[in-house]
Amino acid sequence: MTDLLLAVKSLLVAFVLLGAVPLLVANYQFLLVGLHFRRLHYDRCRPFFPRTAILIPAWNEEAVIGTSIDRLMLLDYPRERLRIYVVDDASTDATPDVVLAKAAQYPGNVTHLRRDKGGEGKAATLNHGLAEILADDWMQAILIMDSDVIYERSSLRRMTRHLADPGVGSVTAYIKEGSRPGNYMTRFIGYEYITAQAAARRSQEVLGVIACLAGGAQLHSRANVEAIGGRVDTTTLAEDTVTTFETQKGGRRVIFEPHATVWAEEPGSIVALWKQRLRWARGNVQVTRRFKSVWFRTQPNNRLGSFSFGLLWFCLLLLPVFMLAASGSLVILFFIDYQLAWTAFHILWLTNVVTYIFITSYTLVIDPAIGRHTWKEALLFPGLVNVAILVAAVLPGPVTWLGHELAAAAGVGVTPGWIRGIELFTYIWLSACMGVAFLGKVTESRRLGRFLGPLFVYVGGYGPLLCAITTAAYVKELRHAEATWDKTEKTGKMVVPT
Amino acid sequence: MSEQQPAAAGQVTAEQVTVVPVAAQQVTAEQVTAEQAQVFADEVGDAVRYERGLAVKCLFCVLLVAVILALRVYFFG
Repeated sequence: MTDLLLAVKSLLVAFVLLGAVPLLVANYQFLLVGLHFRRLHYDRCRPFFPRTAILIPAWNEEAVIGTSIDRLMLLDYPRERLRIYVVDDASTDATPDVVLAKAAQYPGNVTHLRRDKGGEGKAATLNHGLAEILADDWMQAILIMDSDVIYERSSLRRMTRHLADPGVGSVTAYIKEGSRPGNYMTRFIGYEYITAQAAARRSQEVLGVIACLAGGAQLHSRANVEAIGGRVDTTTLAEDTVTTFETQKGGRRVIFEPHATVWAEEPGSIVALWKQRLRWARGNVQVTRRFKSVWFRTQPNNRLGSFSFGLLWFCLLLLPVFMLAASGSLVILFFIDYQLAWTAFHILWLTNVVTYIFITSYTLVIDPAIGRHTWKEALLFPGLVNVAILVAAVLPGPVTWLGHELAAAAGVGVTPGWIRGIELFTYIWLSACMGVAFLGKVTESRRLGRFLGPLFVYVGGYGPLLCAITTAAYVKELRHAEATWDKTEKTGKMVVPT
Repeated sequence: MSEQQPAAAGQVTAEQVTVVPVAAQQVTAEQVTAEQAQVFADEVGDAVRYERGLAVKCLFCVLLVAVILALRVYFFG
């Protein structure tokens, strides 16, 4: 019986400490960012201006498509080497009229392609355009973008210079959230994009492998498009990730150009974010399955199978599992060995403190302009309660004193039972924060939702909200729920900072 | 450059968008080849400096973590 209890305790402690693994991996990933200067590709670049077809899938984009085309025509790129193909996916608004007007305004540069039967998703729309573009040999490179994104003038040429190296198959840019004035949600996303794009893609480059070309900024050489079959994947919800993997499986390099900036309008509500990220998360689950022969297996011509890349991929994909396992184990340990639970929690939370300080401070200085705009959301990324626990871990004395003072002011005596109750709450909160963030989605469209939605996200945390979405993606995939392409609504309220 | 992404140098300003006529923005392939060599060299130089700056910032952030942990251990054990 004693041996069994010891084994159970050891297993529970292992589950708690396993919760520290994604944190340690996140630190590793951010440390790699500091080594990016050693992996730059510029020595194989030169000014290079291939004939570039710009492919824009569009469904009911009247609010944004005209501006996007105008801005593309302002690119610092030889105009005779640019052709814009808008694939209108059977839009029911004024999108065709807007595009046709732009085609008349920029003759020879803008082409309107119409799909009479729409609603098959972005990938099918892209394939319609790809077939058209590949039908003649004018195109030397193709830029796949979204209808709402705005390229800075220099961005395309900063991307194409990498294609001067024939070993490069694809190039992606740094997508920044551009809604102004925006709201709390777009600021959270703005901060998240520094971590997920500016930082994560730099670290992936150091490892020699890129996880995903940004959907709104994928530049491919013609050779690469032809090598992957001349079309994008239509069987998953992550056609851009599949394209990225297929490119690298074929031995062609994928480059992240952090100094080519593209601005995008991202969701401004929890419901819209949920819809978008559920699609992404389900796509990632599908990609994980599709490329199951790749993970942790050395490949002769690419680094997709490297241990480090697998670690990064699975720690992100399985983060909710780690959180639930650590939280559940702490709760069980609390009842069978209170002191051991406290010790295990301390180790986990110390790792969390280090991770929070390092990643938050570094992220804010990786892109200081966005950092200045989003610093409050950066600090509250894990949620108000989690931040309070982090502060208590760093400053146990002052926080304990404050707790006693507040309790005294409220006329409540701090008993050992109270303290144990707070500790149990803390263990439960590790996973419950996901549920609280989820409440933001539930309440957003109801009465007082404009107040309650943000409140739940700030208290529960934006990071936990993303974990809740990933959990929902697991459930949808396990149930083989229908995979539909839910378009993110765009309003055109985006300002490229001057 | 340490505080600003080099991309800022190429950002489209409101003035450029609204004041400069579209025709004036056009560049031919020949002009580009001649003029862009220097631009390319400058941009790459800026980018390399920026990336090296990120390494320094990384070290500062690691140092920040170390200082906070040291103070935590010193004052609270």
